[in-house]
Parts: sequence; structure tokens; C-alpha cells
Amino acid sequence: MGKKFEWKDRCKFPDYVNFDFGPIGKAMSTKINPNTASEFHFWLGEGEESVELGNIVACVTENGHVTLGSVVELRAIMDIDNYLTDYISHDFGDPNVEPPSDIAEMHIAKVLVIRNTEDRVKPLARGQVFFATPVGVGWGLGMSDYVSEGRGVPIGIMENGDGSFIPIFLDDTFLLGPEGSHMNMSGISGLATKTSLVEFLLKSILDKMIKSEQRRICAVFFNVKGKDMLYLDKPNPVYEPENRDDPYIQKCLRMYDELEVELKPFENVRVFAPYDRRYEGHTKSFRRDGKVEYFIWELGQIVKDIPELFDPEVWDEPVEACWIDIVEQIERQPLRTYDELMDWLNEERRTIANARITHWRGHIKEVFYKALKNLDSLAGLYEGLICTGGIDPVDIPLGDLHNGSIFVIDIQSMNDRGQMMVFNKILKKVYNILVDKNEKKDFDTAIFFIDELNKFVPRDPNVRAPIKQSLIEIAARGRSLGVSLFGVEQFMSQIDRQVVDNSSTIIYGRTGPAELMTVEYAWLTEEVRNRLTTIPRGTFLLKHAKFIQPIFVKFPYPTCVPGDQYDEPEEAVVERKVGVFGFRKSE
Amino acid sequence: MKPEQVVIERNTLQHVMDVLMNVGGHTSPIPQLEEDIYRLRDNEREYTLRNVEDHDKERFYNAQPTQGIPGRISYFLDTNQRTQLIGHFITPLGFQVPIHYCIISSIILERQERKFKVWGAPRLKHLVLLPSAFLEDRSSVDSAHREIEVVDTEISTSDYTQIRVQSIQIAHRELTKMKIELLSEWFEATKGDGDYLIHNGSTLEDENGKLSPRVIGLSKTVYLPFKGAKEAGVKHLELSSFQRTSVFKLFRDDDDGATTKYAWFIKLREHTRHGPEFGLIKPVIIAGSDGEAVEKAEWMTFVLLKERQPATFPAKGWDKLIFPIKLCRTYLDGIVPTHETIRSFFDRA
Repeated sequence: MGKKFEWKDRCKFPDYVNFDFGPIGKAMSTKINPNTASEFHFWLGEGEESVELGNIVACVTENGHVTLGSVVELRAIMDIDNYLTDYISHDFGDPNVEPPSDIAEMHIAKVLVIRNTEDRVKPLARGQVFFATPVGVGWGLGMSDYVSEGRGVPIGIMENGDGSFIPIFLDDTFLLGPEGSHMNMSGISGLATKTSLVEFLLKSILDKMIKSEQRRICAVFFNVKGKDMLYLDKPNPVYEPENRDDPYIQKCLRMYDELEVELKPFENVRVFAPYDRRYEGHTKSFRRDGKVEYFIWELGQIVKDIPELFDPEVWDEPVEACWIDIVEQIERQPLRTYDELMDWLNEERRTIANARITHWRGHIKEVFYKALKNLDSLAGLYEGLICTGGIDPVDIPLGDLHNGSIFVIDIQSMNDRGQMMVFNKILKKVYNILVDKNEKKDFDTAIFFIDELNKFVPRDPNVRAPIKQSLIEIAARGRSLGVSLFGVEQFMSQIDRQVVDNSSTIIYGRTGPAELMTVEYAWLTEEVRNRLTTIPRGTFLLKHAKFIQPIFVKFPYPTCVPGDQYDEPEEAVVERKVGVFGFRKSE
Repeated sequence: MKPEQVVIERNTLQHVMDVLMNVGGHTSPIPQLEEDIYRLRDNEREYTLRNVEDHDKERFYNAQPTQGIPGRISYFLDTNQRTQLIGHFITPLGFQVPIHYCIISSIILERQERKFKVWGAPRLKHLVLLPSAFLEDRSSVDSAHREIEVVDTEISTSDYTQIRVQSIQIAHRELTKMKIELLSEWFEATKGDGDYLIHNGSTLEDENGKLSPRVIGLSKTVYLPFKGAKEAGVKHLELSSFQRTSVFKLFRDDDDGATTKYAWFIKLREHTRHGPEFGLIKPVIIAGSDGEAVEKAEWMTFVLLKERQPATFPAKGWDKLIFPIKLCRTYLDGIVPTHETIRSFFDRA
């Protein structure tokens, strides 16, 4: 006890140090592993078992200053110089032998310095090591400044070795602009971490920012697989009263309390999906409770996007040249519907065939046939996206986006090219709304969430990705325009570097060892990389522009039900009826 | 002593330097420790060796003795002495008088359930050794810092080398005093448990009255300079692993049995590529009679053979170094500045 108080008395910043828990070790520097200005080592006291990777510790030096750092490596050392010695010590390999003395063993922690209270940047040598307090962590990570100014966006909890829950906040000016923007998250599938975290983070953003009236935010989420994002408005059943005795649920509830995020599902959610003529609800969505609105576009709305829907093998340069002439006719005649376009093209084909003409408007007729074949297949390939058979166009009402509203665009039914086209189209429209000063709007920041980002901005230059360039531009310029891209993928190494590098917040979930061998993770210590291979569900490694070091953070189950775990009640499902025809609304 | 006190104050070397300057000295450190240059003299030649049993060449001691093990080894003591020539001063008569800085330390580790902890507190002293007879003004050393003890070596010879040789012997005398004090405390405090202590190094010349019968000196020297050794025919160099020699008594004719001990050799380990000295240790004990000594040698040999594990390879002298003593050594090395630090400090001036 005497020693503890002595250090406390000596310390000039006692609020940063958990003296009540007591010292956990002592810092030292050796010839082989000398401390540097950016890292130090300490040995753990005898029987000290509370320290684990990712903990934030505070080292108090003799001059009373405090150095805060994150534990990035733990090593157990025994007084054995080589394997052979120990083998011999056990009567040449008898595991049952128990020598009269136990070999001394100890644990060494390597700590990356986050911040110190001295102005000078210098390595520390001796010092007593404690856990940092929440106040200390807040100061060390630089959170206290922006949190006190109302700019903190809760993202989770850092559970320190002393059992303390430390709320972790992102700086919204670095998450949503203008200082920085965008979030990128990677990790293997199947743990529900990525989707759940995005849901929790969005809830947190909306709660904090709308309440504080600092921003007017809307969000557009793209559901690219299964039912992931379809039920944002449904409460998460894990928080039902009967589950609240579960220790993990209690922990989650405590996190909501600490982070001051409301445990309520999202409000103002609208879900959109492509048209489905065979289903009475007319949506190609797994959500069947009648809450999904459909969209379908007329020829004029997608004419510029049509080439993006084809592979370069079938939509080559001659076809593209032919398409330019077709577009000219679409505008000149004008051709208003896709059906009209196809009727006209088929008529042209008949004319060419009957007259034994070799060219169509200067294009070899085989090229024209190829273009026609492509366009003919389009309606089938992207059924529900383009009005045919007398269906009226219904656009996604992006003008209805307002502060606090969330649009979920369910494009899981479409292939990659279709998804890309829809994403790009909506992104551009919202982008234009934001930059158009004459446009009346009730939001100044738009968050776009897209899963499987690797399909949209692949690093491999040989993979055709029509919207890659526009996404790179959004990543580079979005922060100043109020566009924030939340991208998620399994493998960060497969994403274009410019998109990742422009993300002010990067989140690493559980990652496979092969992926961790890539250059994206080279800046992490080997121990942290290894930890990422086994990181539990609900935990991630957070790198934020304001943080000097990455930290491990935990987050609770989201407020809304994870789509993949939700089965709609039978009574809620609108009966599926198959219809063959759709009808154009009367003029 | 609190651990904080054990750690050398960073100003200690400066205080030593102050003493040197106060006596008008000049720094002149040498690369080696004095102990590496001059051998500490012992009086083993004054002892007589006499066998107290016949040597059983066929017996091996790696099996548990049938009569059981009446004692347990739970304590381990080691000492450390580092004497550094740091400078010299010149007397009015023109003699060069060397000045030494010496660190002496001592520790006992206690083993419980195979784990170790420090028994009591380690001892540490910083000594400045100088013969005050040559000083013009003896008060010049009185102002020394309380953490440093200035020891008057009371040497009267003006021979520079002799002063150096005698200085390390005086330092050793101080170390022995420190060790005996620590052992006395230990003996009093552990009377109840009756467990034994291994003392790193021979205890032959320590007075039995100041030692405890529960102390086992562990000598690594194989030399037998004793009177009667040749006649006794100790075959220690012919031992195989797990064997011991006969127990022999070592006594002086001139001390009325005050330092009489019993000893024998044990072969901890052997190797075809190593010489006959490899793995050979010599326990030195106090016993009330020849019979008691043999009795003790019987079970102690078995217990000491067990101490060969865990092996301390590749530590220096690992073949004879038991693990707990290695720990003592590591501890003592850890609480004093390295030889390089000391030499560098006095080199700079």
C-alpha cells in the first residue's frame, strides 16, 4: 500500500492512472530490446493475469509524468536458453520428470506509445506501470477534446484489463467530413460483425448528430446479399426481457448506457427493390411484409447506363459505336420506352435482312445484329430494372431523403453489373443533390453503405469496374461535399488503395492469415495480426485518423434485428401471387 | 531493505568520484576487475585431509536412499564481490597509492513448492577501499555520502601491487562479514523448519560457530592442496555420473576444531568430450562426528544429484552450477551496475 500511494503522490496526472487497481508491472529497457520514443517494454508483476493484448496502460516515471500506450505484444520468457537444455533437464525427454526447482518464468509486454504528458519526445526507461483510467484513455487518444465539443460519435467500448468500460468515440469531422471522411471495414464473412457494426454505428451517428443538431444526415444503404439490411426498423429480439439475464446481453445493455445510444430500432426507414411482375408486392426482395417499395426505370432514365450492364466481350468498341447511333435515334425520334426501342430496332433488322444490305448506318450489319442481340437480352437479364410490357416507371424518390431518413436499396437479386449500375446511379444523384446549391434539401451529409466493395473498386486493374473511377473520386472529394462512404469487404487487399487510404476510419474484423500477409497489414505487429485471426465476434481493431495507435474495441448487438436471423411472421407476409402481366397506368 | 533501496542510486558513482577527488586522487581505471587479476588467497594448505569411510566404487546415488531423506534443501545463498581499481593518489613521499571501488552483495533465495522468492532482504554495500595511513588529511574522506562506506584498508606497505592484492582480500573480509550476518539472521529465523541451505562456494574457512550445521558449502574446485591428501588417495577424478567419493574430514591443527568440516566429491554429470573435472562438485558440511557426516553424505548426495536439474546450460560453468544458484547470481547481477558502466564512468574524467 505504501508504494502505491508513493507513486500516486509522485504522479502529476493522477486522473490518468488507475492507482486503485495497483501496479501491474515495471518498465525497463534492455540492451537487446531498448525502448524507443514510440515503444517501451514492461514486465508483469508476479501473478498478474489481467493484462491482455490491446489494453491501454499508463507508465508513471520518476518525474511524475505519464506515458500512455497500447499493449501490442505479450511474451512469456523462461530461464531456458534453448530447447535442448530443458529436454536434458527432464532426464533426456521424460515429461513426467519434475525437477526440484521450477524454471523462473515471466511475462513481458511491449507497448506502443500513444501519448505522454511531457512535451518532449523521448524514450522512457524506468517507470511503474498501471492501467490507464477512462479519463487517461480519453486524453491519450485525443477524444476528450472533440467529445467535449459535441463531435464524438460512439463506436464501442474498450474493455481494459482492470475491467473498466471505456467509451470510444470517433471524431465526426473525420468520419463524415470535412476534415476526413469514409469508413472502410474488412473481415471474413459469417460472423455478422461487419453488418452489425455498421448498423450500430449508423444508429449511434443518427442519435448523436441529429440530437445535437450539428448535422442533418441521411443514409442510403445497399443490400447486396440476402436479407442483411432489410429489417433496420425491426427491434432486435436479443433485447427482449426474457433474454436480459444473459451475461453478454447485460454487457451489451451496459454498453448502450455507457455510450448513451438509445436502444430502439431505426425510424424513417424505407426499403426499395427492383420491380417483380410475378409477385403481388412487385418487389424482388426477401422482405415480404409489404413494406418494400419497388422501383423500375424507363428507357430515358437508364439509357446512359446501358453499356455498363454488359461485359466488354459482348459490348466491344464496334458495338459501342453502333450504340451511339442508336442513342441518337432514341433522342431524335424520340423513342420513349424500351418496348418502342426494341420494336424500332427489330423493324430495322427486318429491313436490312430483306434488302440484303451489308451495313446499317455505316456499321457492318453483323455488328448491328450483335448490338441488337445485347439489347434484346437486356430486359431478361435485368428483369425488373427496365420497364417493359407496359409497366410504368417508378423511380427511387431520392428527393424525399431528409434528416434522419434511411433508404435501403435492396439489390441482392441483381448480378454484379446491375448492382453496380444501381449503386452508381443513386450515388451520382445524391451527390448532385448535395452539390447543387439550388436544390432544396433537408440534409447536408449522406452516408452510403455498400457491402462487397471489392466488386466496385477492385485493386486489380484488369478487372473491369465501370464505377471504380467515380468511387475513387467520391473517396477523394466526398469529405468536403458531405458524402461519406462506408465500404465493407472481406479482403482489404483487393480494394483500390486510394479508397482505403482516403478512409479516415478503418476497421479490421477477424481476418484470415493469408490476407494478413499482405502489405495492408504490414504496419501492425505480428502479435496484433495473429490476434486478428481469432478476434471474437463483436470485437474489432479500430484505426481512426485521430488515434495515434489502433485499439481493440467491442460493440453491442445492434438495435435492429440482423436480417439473416430474422424470419418474418407468417401473418405479416403478404401472400405471394403470381401474375403474368403488368399494366401501364392510365395517362 | 526495500527493492527501491537495492537499486543503486544513480548518484552513487558520483559520490565515489567525490571521495576520489577529495583525497586528491586521479582516475585510472583498468579494464579488468581485480578479482580477475589476483587470486583471493585461501588457507586450505593449512588443512589436513583424512578419510572417514571406505570408498564404494560400485555405488550410484541416483536412486532414493532406502533410509529415506531426513532433510530438505530450501535455501540458497550466493555472494558477489566486484572490486574495481578506479584511481590513485600520490603521497607526499611520492608513492602511488591505488584506490578501489568495491560492491559486495549477498542474497538468500527460498524455495517453496518449487518456486523461489527472496528470503529476508538482499544485502548490498558500496565500499571505497583506501589506506588512510597515506592520507595527509584523513577528514577529507569523512564527508562521504551515507550510501558509501569508506574502508580504511590499514595497509602500510607502499608497494603498489601489494596494496591492490590486499585490497581485494579486505573486500572479501567485508563480504564474509556481511554473509555471516545474513546467515545468522537466517539461522535464527528458520530454526523451526530445519531446512538446509546451499552456500555457493566453500565454507571451509568459515568458523563453525558462526555457521549453522544446516549449511552445505558447495565448492567447485577439485584441487586437493590438503596435507595427507595424497596418502588418502581420493579418487574423485575417476568418478562416474551419480557417484561420490568417500567422505573426508578437513581440519587444522591450530584452531581447536573451530573450522573442522567434512567434505566429499559428487559427479553430477559426465561427458565423453569433457575432462575428469566436468560436473564434479564438493559439498562441505559441519558434522558432530564422522558417522554423522557419512550419514548426511548418504542422503545429501542423492538430493544434490537431483539439483542437477534443471540444467543451467549454457551458463558459464554450467556443469557444476545448480539452477537456484544461477538465480541468485542473476539477482545479484541485476542490482548492481555492470562492470562496463563503472569503468566507463571513471574513464571519462
